[in-house]
Amino acid sequence: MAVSQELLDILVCPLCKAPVKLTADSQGLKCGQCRRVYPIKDDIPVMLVDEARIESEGNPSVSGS
Amino acid sequence: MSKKHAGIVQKQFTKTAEAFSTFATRDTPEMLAERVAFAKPQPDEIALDVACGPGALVFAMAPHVHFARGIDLTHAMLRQALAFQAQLRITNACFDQGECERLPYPDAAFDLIMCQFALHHMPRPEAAIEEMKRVSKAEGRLLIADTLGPESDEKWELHNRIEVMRDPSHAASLRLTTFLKLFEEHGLSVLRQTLKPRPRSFHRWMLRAGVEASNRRYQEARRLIEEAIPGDRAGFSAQYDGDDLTIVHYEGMFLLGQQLAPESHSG
Repeated sequence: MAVSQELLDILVCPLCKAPVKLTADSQGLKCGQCRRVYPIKDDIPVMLVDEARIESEGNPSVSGS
Repeated sequence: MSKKHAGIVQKQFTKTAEAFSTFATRDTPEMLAERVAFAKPQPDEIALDVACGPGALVFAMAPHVHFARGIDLTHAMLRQALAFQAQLRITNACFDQGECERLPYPDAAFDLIMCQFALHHMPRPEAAIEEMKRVSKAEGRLLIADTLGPESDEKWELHNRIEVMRDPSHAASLRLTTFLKLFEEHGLSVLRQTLKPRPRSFHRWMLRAGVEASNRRYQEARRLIEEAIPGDRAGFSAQYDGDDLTIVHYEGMFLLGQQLAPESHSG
């Protein structure tokens, strides 16, 4: 069962409180501001700063717009 | 919450996720129903349970609101929650993993925010309360339930020493007076409040934390409680019950609203 977009819409980056977007592979949520990518494990968004990785600028991993 | 304490909490609740979810559940359906009724949920509301564990309160609340969300620090608890959700076929609920001091939600996102029996795990409960207030709508409500520590300094120290011995993720059971001061300092007014004694088996209480009778911590906690029976020096109101002890936790439940500062009326 994938996490639905509707349920993800309310989520923000726990650090900078900017909206997050589903990555192209649907495996993570990327903050548009600090570029942290929070993983989705077992259909659960893991919104822990320590578990996020910071993606380099220009990496086109976010789906849609 | 420090990384070290977060690690202790995750370790403790990963170990006890199954026990919490099955044989040693904290609350009966009646207790959960009482808590839900206390919060006066409305059908159009969005609710959040902070430190939701395996989701019992989220599932009890879901039929009464538009949507119920749960967040917890420990992944194993949330996996249990999703398994229960599938069994119960509840469709208006979901779960996130996150920290109570850094909630991954925008300001004023929820009508009702709940946090039950979790603040005593938090070394900085004031930070969690401030964060819950941030994600609450101005007209929203906070439901806080927790065990209360004894008011006397000596009892409070021994009481919490025993609690930490049982569960290393325990930070401190706050006193009633501390809770009320915290609420006031954070601009929260008490709309409703109940205080109840909750007797329980010492043995089952220890098992729920994953501490078996053969464990040195079990034996030491029991020794300390027994020694403190005269004068109730640990504040557990302990009594012998056959081979077991009956101990009492005092539980406080508070429904809070945000106080409007005088200047906020000017607009």
